[in-house]
Amino acid sequence: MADMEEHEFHTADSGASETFPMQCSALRKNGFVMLKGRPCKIVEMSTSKTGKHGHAKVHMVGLDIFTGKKCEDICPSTHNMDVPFVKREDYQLMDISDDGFLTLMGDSGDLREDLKVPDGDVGVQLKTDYDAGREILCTVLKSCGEEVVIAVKNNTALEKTN
Amino acid sequence: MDVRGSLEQLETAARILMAPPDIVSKDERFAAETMIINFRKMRNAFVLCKYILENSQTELVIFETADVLRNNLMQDWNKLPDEDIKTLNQHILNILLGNTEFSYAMKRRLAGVIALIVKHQSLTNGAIGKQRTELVSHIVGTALNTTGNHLVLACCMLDALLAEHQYVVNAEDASLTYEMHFAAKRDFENSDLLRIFQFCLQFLTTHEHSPMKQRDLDHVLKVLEIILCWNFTKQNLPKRVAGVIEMEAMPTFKPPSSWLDTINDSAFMPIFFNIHVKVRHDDNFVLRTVNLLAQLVSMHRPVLMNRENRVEFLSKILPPFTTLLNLPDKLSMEIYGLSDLIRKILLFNRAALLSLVETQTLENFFQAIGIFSCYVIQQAAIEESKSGVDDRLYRDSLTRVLEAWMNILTDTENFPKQIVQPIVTDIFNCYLKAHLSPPEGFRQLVATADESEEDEESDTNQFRDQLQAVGVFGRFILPHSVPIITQLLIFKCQALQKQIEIVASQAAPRESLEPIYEDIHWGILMAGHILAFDGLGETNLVPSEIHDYSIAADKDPDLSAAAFEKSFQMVNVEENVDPIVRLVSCVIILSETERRVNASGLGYLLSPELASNVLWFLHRFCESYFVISEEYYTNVSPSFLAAWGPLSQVTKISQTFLLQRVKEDLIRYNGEVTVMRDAINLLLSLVDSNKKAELAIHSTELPAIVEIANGVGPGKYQMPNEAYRKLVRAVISVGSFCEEQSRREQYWDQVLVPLAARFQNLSGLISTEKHRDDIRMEISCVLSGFIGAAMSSHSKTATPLFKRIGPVVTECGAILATYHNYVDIVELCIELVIELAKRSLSYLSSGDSVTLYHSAMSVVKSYSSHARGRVSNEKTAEEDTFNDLVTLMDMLTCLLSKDFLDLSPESISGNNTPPSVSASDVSLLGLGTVLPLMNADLLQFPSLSNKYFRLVAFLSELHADKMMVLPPPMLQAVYESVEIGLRNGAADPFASCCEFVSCMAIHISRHSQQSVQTSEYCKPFLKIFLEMILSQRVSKESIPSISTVLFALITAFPDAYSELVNQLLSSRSSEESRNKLSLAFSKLTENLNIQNGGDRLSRSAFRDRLETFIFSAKGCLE
Repeated sequence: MADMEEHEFHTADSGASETFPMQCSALRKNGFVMLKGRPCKIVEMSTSKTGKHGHAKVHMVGLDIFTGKKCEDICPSTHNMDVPFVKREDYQLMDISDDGFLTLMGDSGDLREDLKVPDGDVGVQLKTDYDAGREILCTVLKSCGEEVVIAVKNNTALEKTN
Repeated sequence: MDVRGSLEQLETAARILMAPPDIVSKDERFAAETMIINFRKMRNAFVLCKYILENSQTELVIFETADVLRNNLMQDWNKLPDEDIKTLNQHILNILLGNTEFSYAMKRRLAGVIALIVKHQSLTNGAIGKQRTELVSHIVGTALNTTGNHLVLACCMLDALLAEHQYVVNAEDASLTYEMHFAAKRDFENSDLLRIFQFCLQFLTTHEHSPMKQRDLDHVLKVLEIILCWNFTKQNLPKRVAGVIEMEAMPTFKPPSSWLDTINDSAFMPIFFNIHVKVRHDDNFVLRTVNLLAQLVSMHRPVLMNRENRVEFLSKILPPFTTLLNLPDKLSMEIYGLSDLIRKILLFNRAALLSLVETQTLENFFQAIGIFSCYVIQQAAIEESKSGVDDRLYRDSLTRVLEAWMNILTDTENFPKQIVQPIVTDIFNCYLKAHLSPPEGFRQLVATADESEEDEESDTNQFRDQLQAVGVFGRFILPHSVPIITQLLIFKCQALQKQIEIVASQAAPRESLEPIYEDIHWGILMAGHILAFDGLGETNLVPSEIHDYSIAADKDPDLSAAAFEKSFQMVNVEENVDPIVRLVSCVIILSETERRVNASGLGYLLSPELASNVLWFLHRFCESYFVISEEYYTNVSPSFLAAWGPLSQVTKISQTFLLQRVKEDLIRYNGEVTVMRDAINLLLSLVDSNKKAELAIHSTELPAIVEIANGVGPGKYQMPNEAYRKLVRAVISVGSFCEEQSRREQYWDQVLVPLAARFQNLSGLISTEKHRDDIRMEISCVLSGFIGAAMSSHSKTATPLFKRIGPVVTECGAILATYHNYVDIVELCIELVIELAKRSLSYLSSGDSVTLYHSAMSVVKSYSSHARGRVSNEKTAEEDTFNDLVTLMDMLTCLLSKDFLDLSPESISGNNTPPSVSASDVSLLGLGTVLPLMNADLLQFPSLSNKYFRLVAFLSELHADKMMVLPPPMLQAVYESVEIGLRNGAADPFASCCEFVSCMAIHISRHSQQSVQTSEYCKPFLKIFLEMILSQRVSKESIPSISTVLFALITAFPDAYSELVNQLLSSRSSEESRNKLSLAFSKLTENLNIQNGGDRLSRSAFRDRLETFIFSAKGCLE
């Protein structure tokens, strides 16, 4: 049984697809869905129907996970919607280059240098902590081919509490 | 004091305040407001007030002066010479009589001052009530023959007197004691209140047949309404109970026996009806006069003491009311009021009493309410066809009127059934017709076909009360209701079959099915409510009248059972079958029709709403009738035993069919959340007893349902998360009802072993492939499955289930650490702990409890290490943190439940040794985690601050000792958050904060921990609360909490308290005020035991004294 399950997993993850189908009714608030071609986090969900004896429809309001832009859609509850694969991996910050690119180290020790210092509070915090010589963990949000550092956290706090 | 100058300043300020905004500057307005506010706080202002009253014509200034006078009179009554008060009183009276152009509100304020003076005079100067009675006599004596301004002024004075005497415990005037307020009110009720009442009646009688000025009538009716809604004093009620009762807005009318003569007067009753009939077409009056009637009919003891009195009262009231109901022109404005009147008459006069009223009067009355009920049903049907109506007047009236009938229909032993039977039949038929489409009924078309409606509440919820009442109507006339509903369902089911064929052949649109669906929908709802009632958690029994009806029908039981079985093959049931079995068979045939339509690929034509109704009906039927327990009843219908008894072969076959329906609906309707919910409910009712569960386990269909539950997951069968949890819960519950342990375990293996295997499989993969999307989704699904399993736990199954869920929950901390970036998984990990804490923890052994505590602790640690210090750019980051915190606090609070209620085997056997870790350790650790994440902004959110402060209060109540030894910075942070909670002032968090401080203070006091460093954090609250009281920032509702906490603080820090009091006293500039305040302080704590946290009596005395203290302190500080 376990072998069978594992086999199924490999098949599911082997394709390069950025989304997978899910029945509309199985979506949930705080889950993800593609709305107007963008990966969104569902912040509101409600059902309605055409007439009292009609079939259910689901009304979704989502926020683009990268831009925060609001998107909406309505879909019969039995239809499938595309759900984006959304990853949030943690990397250790090693360096910040002069042109604003980050050197990040993943769990397995591989380095990457393709992400920039993010905008907003996170970017400010990241630079301040880096300049202060603190160890920093960066959470990288990845979906539909886009990637961005979405959150940072001081790594010393982690060590202390552990 | 330069009174003239002061008046000039006040008048200027008033002019500025009343001026249009463009004429005065902001600063001018602010200065004017400050001036008026300072005037309101003024003490010893008699001279100025008197001067103002004599010389000012500015309404606003006089208006404010009235309030200042009231306050000053309350504070300084004893200091003022009688003569001065008399002069003042007379002066105000002169102003009232002389200035006809003053507004009513203005006059009412001044009248309030007179009422206060009279109340005080009546209590302090000689015979109680003397001055008041003189004034009332004067007012009513002159008012009776006047109209216009004089009458309005009289009513204004009476209104002020009524208001002054309305409350005892909650009276605004704290200068009088509770006992004095009580004496004044009681005396008022027995004398002057009756005189005022008589005056109103006399006025109405005099003017009954003559045209009346609208304004005059309005004022008299207003006074009358206050009297009919009067909360009469009751002897021997504890003060706190009396305080609650007297705040009731619409109490029943209970005049004392001294009113008997007035009540018995033959003109008394008709006048109310006559006036209503006279003014009912005027929208300004109709609501008030109907309300007067409703209050009048609520009249009972002590004035209507015995049965004869009551029957006489009914004989007087029923004929005019019957006439009123029979008026041909019904007004929408009075419909709700009349419905309420009917309800009150039938509620306050039980069936046995009504049956003593003369037969013709009674018959006429019931005839009239029958016709009225049908009228309301018809109007409600029209109203229901309109969309977007906010005020459902007829729907609400119908609910009321049907509710009224319940008092008669459920008390058949004491009432002649034959009088109401034909009327009940008419109402039932009318209700049925109102919900059927033409030509059988008169349901109106609702134009919504193309519109998409947002989640509307289901009819079973929206019309819950109506349908329950109609169920009672139906059971009252079973020989009529059951055949008619059966016939309807047979006829409509056939119509549906035909129409589906027509629509399938495209000869008609799908919409043509809607009226049939709607007819069947209501037919099923009515049938379901007739057959069974919602036991609201109690065992759902078959109503006895249904057994009697079935037994009386005397049909062949075997024939009935065979017919029921055949209904699953859609064989129509003939009339020679038991009528109840036949009715249920009709629904089965309908259910089979749906299945076959679906099997033929026409499922898209079916109505999910109807599917939901059919499942709802079957669920209700299964709860009460299916596998019927003979031992619950004295008489059981043999037909029920043959068709649905535990030993019947048909039962077994039917259960399989019904399980099949559940299985099919779980797949067919997996996009319809309500249908799935009803299907799962049906499943639960098919297995909710040992006998049913044993039968189900042997059924061939149950494994198929188990397979569905096992098949839910990513890339497999999809189901809404909530539905999946409920399904697992239902499937596990089947095992919970198995008596035999080995069979139960064997059954659970079918569900929980595959789930555990999936979990095991994941554990291996998480370490190496944690970022794979499919693994994450599988984790979500498996955790949801275990949450569903945990939800099914109860006292008997908590331990065996924990053996299976325990290994999963111990991993939750690690899972959370790995997936801390994924909100959904974080929440699921916490939710699993919550479900176990909620439903299992109390019953778990100490060993298992410790396992759960460790798991919870590891969840808290993981959460804390990843959430602390995190800065995020995500748009929903704040909301996510908020949700996490709310869930986390739920978890910490649920864990504490073990400290409240421990039903573990060790606790029951008495071998209780303290475990290595306790619930409080986890909660305190969690508190340490939550604290750094909380801030003043987050505490503004009501749901979060409620939960946080409740947790803090629980912890201090149960474990103040452990709180005291928390790391000082943490405890300081808790106290700081509590201070924020107190300042925010929202009621619930405020009470929790008070509870926290008092628990800590009591602990410090009882264990003499004043010298411990951490008790220093508690001490400043003494000042905080005292300041709160002295600055008059305390609402009446919060006084109980504040008195408890202040008393506890005084017992904990008596020296600091004395020091604070001394500081306060020395800061007073005038000696008089210092002495008064000092006296108030000493009275507050005089002779109280404040050692070791104080005793109950002292605490209670302190509470009573605090209110007086607040009043006295107010007087000293202003």
